[in-house]
Amino acid sequence: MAGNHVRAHHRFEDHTGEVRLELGAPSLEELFVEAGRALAELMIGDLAPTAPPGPEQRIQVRAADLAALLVEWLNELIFLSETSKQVFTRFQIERIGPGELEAVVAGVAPQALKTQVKAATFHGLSVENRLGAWRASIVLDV
Amino acid sequence: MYPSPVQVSDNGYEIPKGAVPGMRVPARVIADQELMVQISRDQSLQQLVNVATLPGVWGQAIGMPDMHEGYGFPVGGVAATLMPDGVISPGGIGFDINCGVRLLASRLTRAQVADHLETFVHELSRSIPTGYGRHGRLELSVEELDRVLGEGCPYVIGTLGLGLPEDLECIEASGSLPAADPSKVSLRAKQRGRDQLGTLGGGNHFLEVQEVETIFDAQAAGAFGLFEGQMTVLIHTGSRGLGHQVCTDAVRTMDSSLGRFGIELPDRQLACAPLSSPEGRDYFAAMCAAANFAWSNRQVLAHRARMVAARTLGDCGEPRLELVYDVAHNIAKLEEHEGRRLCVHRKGATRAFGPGNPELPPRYRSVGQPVFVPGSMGTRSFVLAGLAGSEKVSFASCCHGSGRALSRHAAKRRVEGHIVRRELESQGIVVRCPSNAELAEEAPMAYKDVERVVDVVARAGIARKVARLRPWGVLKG
Repeated sequence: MAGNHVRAHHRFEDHTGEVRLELGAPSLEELFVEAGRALAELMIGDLAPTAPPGPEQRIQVRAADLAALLVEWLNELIFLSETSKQVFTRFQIERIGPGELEAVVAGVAPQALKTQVKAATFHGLSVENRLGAWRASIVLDV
Repeated sequence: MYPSPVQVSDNGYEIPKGAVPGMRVPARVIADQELMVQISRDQSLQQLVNVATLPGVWGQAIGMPDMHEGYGFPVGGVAATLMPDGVISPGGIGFDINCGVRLLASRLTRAQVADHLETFVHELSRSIPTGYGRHGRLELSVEELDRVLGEGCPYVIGTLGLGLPEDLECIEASGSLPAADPSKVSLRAKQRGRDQLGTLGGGNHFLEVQEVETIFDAQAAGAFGLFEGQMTVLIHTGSRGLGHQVCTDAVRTMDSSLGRFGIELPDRQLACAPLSSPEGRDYFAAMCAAANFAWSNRQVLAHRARMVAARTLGDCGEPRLELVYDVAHNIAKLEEHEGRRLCVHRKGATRAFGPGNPELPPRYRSVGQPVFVPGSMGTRSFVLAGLAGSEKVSFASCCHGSGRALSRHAAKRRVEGHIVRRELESQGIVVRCPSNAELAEEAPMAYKDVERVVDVVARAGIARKVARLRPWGVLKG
């Protein structure tokens, strides 16, 4: 499979007001993990505390389709970050389908945030499989 | 190739209805040639054209001179939908529902406060939580939060005692939208907002201590209580995580109900529903509650600023801070324009009612509504007064800032935060922002020229210039 040669990666693209996140990964599970990692990088950058992640937490999200599932996944992480004062840095996707995801996550509690992220949006949203590799594009409101 | 806008006046460009399939009305941008060039560099024109396809959109989709690319709607976008069946689109308000600006005016001058200015800004930074961590928060019980959502500023002032009764008439809608229904705000939104009342938040939110540098219109400045040399405090923030979650919830709901209403959209973030539908009514009730929360947030922050002023500026003279006005720039309001009932979406745009409007407090009715246009960090801000002609030009809407010209990344590539900090300090501006990276993202060079933006809205007949404010101290979230 061509996708097996793609390493999970992300980059933040220019967007005048917000942040456009581009993702790539050999599998859907790794794509969603990479999205979580990118969110953490955006929120704390190199401010990450050296302490190990806190207790694990189980997350379940549902959505109408795969692209909406990426929005829901990031919005769930944003919600939990804000209400538990953590930033999630460790992700294990246990189950993923076109409209459902179950994961176990763990986070750190930074003293400050580099960027406060308001929400993941549907603007310019795409999740697709090209030649066996997964790619996604999503805009975050910051 | 995307259609180029056609210049239709000195301060107006238009993409006519029909230039792009699906447009129901023209897309018009209020800008001069220079600003139009800057606006054309990102996706904001395409986003404005997308707005022009919304069901029930009326008149024209309007871009302000500070317009830039957003998500769904452009930031600096205005669209009115015809009631009763036109749509309401949460993306046309934004995640930060009722993000807005409040201006407080002192009776003190620079000469009086000079020796205490740094202490004042420092104490403000200690008393005003930016929103992360648990320091200095006002935690509300479930019942108290519901009353903030349902009643807004009258509850915060009247029952919680955080403000003066006379503040109410100087807040848009008296800080309380009657259509608010706390039961339509999700538990998750309330969880996010429960300990966020009285917090500034990150991004481009800030509190600024300023001086009235120039008066352009003595009559209006007199009515607003402004004079040259005067110290003012400007607060820019919104509904925090509570509002973000209200929008998140509604976009999800409306995205999944588009098929039922037979609505097709060029961008999923424009998800919408007829305001007459249960989805539309529920969102409107929740949005109004989040708007009440935002006005209450700025009220609590103003109360804290007043406490700090009383503590640190008492030796300088009378440290009282009077509320000039508080106005939203991310909101949808039901308004009458030229005999029609419209739902006016303002996404990064400020209401600008002209003289005589009955919604204005009596002391402003002869001069028009105060409009605040903050510049970028460290540059001048403007106080304007709405003109009667604004109704015809822009559904009584004005620009809300100078508008980003560079992305955050591009700004950081061009300038380093510590240099921005040094430049601001060399101008005598006291800066309180823990992150150099955030300073670079919000550097003045990342924004359009606020003077040019304000001159365009003045020439377009939307609002007239009243005063220019120069920053003394900046506290960033």
